[in-house]
Amino acid sequence: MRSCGVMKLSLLLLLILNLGCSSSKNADKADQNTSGISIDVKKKVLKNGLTILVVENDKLPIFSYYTYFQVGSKYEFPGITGSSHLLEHMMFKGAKKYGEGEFDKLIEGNGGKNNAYTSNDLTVYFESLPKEHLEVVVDLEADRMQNLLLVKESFEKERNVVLEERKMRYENSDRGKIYLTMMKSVFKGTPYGSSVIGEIDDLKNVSREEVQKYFKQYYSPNNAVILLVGDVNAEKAFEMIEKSYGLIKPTENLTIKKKAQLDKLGYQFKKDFSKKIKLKGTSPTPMFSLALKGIKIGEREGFVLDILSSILGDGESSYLSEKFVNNRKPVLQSIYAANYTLQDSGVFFIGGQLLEKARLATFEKKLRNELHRSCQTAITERAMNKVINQYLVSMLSGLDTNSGIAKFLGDRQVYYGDYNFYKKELALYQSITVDELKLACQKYLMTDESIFISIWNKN
Amino acid sequence: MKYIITYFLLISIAQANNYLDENVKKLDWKGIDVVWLEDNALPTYDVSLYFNAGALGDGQNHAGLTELMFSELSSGTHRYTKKEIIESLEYLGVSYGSHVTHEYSTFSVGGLVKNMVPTMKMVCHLFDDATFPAKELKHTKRRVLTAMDSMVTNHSKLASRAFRYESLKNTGFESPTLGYKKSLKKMTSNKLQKRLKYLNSKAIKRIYIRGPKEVMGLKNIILNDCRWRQGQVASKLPIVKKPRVEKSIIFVPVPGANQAQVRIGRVITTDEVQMGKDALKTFSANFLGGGFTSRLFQKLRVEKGLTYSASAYSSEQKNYGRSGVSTFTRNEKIVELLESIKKVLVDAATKIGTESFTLSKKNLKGNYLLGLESTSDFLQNLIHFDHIEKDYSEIYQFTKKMDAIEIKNLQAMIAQLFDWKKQVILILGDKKLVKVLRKAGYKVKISNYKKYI
Repeated sequence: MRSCGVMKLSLLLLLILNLGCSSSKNADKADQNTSGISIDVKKKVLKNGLTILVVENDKLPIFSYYTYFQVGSKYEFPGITGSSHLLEHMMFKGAKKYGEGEFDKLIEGNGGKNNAYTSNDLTVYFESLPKEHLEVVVDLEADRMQNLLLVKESFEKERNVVLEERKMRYENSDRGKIYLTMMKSVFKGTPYGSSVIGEIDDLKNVSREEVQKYFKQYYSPNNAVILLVGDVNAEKAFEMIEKSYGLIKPTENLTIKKKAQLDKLGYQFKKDFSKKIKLKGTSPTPMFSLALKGIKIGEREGFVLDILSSILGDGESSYLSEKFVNNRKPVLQSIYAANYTLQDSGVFFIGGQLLEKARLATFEKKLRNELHRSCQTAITERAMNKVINQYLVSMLSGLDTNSGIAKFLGDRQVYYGDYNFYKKELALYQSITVDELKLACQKYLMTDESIFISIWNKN
Repeated sequence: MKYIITYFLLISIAQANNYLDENVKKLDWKGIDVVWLEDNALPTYDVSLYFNAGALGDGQNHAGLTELMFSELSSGTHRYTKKEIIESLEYLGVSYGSHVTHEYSTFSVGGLVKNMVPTMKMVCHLFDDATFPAKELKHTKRRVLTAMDSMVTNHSKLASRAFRYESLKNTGFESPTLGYKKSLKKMTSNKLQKRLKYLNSKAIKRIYIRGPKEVMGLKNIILNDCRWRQGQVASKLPIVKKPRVEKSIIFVPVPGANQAQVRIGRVITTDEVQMGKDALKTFSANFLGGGFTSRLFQKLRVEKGLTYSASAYSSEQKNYGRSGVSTFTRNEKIVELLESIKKVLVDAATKIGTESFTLSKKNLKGNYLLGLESTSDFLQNLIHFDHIEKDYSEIYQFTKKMDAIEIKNLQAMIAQLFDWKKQVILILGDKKLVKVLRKAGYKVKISNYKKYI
């Protein structure tokens, strides 16, 4: 019996020791791996377009298996909103070889766990099990990728389950309501304008046949990426996966079809972007969200806005927190800023909640003034270095589990088309200059084009 | 196939044994016990400072004192302002915070090894010199009170808070560790100072560290800068003699709810905790509501489409524990949901088939192994083991204990912990449901949600 092996992630500690307090302003360094993280990934693309990435890690005799389907709510249209997510639920309801109820029984009965999530861009499935059950997982996943049953009776039951999920996440939560309204308002008229959870009427009426069609269109090997991390042999894993998935037919002209669907609407923000929305809620003090036009993932300006959002509203010592929460006369209970970059668009938003007796209208005005001022006063070398330090910790924190490594690599593969993107990610952030940040701040934040949403029991 | 699975699981757990033997080291730093989980995989570290003092020590009318003391630790010292403290810690990318249970507390710090020294020097400085400035405390109280008032917008959280109070009433454990609005209003800098002083000088402390060899450099900092003395005061924990008997459903109306939150459960008494059988108790909760194949999930979601989520739990500290069920449903299905839960609990106490028994057992054994993967989570397990005075070798024995459990044992434990007649039931939702429940034959007591915040 062997003892636990050392994780096969070669971490270049010396580089890390030199990192942090002096962020380089040399754009040439943007290609260097300053994170110190180096993960040995083996890649194979099958003839049918399926991309497989494997990391051998024998720390414990277990593995995690992620399947990314590059389809999310942006491919839906009125009448079938919420279908990507409903389909995610139905993927656990049986396929041709492994019928109803078999999936969960085999995963949990073999000591494993599984789950899935859907976003605007992606649907992701994942399992973690003891290492000897890899073949079972591969077979289960290959079966449901090609032969999903969508049994009528369970389809109808799952529709109700999703409606309950919708109530829990959005209808009975002021925070949920404000987020849903923000996303729908910001992206109105674009593929991101339909919520991931879906409209109530669509969820009640979408037919099994429509979901079946959606499945056939998007659940194909050339629209999927598999990540396998754990105590496995990469070559054997490739063989095993090819045996189960190799004969699954790809969707023909997938890229053209996907583009055609998205191009129907395009990603232009609505011309009339400025408005105020008041929602009726139950919160005794107002919660708010100020949404501004953002940018899609992967653009340099997107990385610039990431840093800007962190400087403004990430942590207790952030700029806006100092101005409104931790100052002498606080008016807010909390505040945060986020740069949400999607595959084809983005939104920069600031949210929070007012303290008792603080006036919403007065605060809104102050916030807008403060955002304008922040472009000159908030952006400093020190503030940037703080953010870079926090990003490095955040990157490392997910890497102590197979599941964390799989997600880390999978996200980079689907969003940047390169699982190795992390090697230049931190350096890219480090190459951003104060001037660049100030310019982006003026361009994206010093604008009247914004959507201000509030919710409380007195609206 | 069955034998192959068992064989591999045994290998897996055996490897976990080696992991513990090779990587967990117990040290003594001038009377303070230190547990070091050596982890060279990443250039990060975690430190958890354990105190055998939790929310039970908050005293009458001061519920929330320990939680507030930890959260205000960074609000100022004689040398630094709050702004300087949080700026310096956040600059280093440090994550820090407390976890307060009724029986004990921990303060945890984590970050990059290269920043460990300045970070821990600052943390020790906070423990040694925190002044809890009155002005900062005033602001914090205002923020916390707003957050508490806003709990009415989070039905799940509010239901769990109300249920804690009702199911643990008169046990000494009923107050939430965060306290109530009423108790928070009474907090002063002086009271926070006294609580910190108690932790520094009288509470029994232990230190848990995860990270590479460099973390041993913390010894001098903790001994010299924290200036702790090992305390000698053993915590006095209340004895919980019997669970509350409540024949009515406790109904908590909230405005604008189109979904009912349901909590069902009871306290696990001191005797029941001390009888052991922890694996069996965990198994009973897992069998009922521990995954997608569990009885409740299958009945309520898969078979009936009544809910999105249904779970059961059984957890213990040293002198008490809690077992129960947590779920929700749309308003019109509340009676059907309750009847379905009742049927699952009653049936499981008498009729369990071999197939579902074996599946749940294998599931729990496998998940136990998966739970050992994250070293940060593993460290938290070690803290809990020490608190309840269990030897780490018990980690090895879980599989063995599970293998010894038979169907009749599981049925008996479900009958004991989840006996329908002995559960406290709390529902939070639209007040119209009171009529519906009464019409269905349930006795209902109405309780204002403000009572719980």
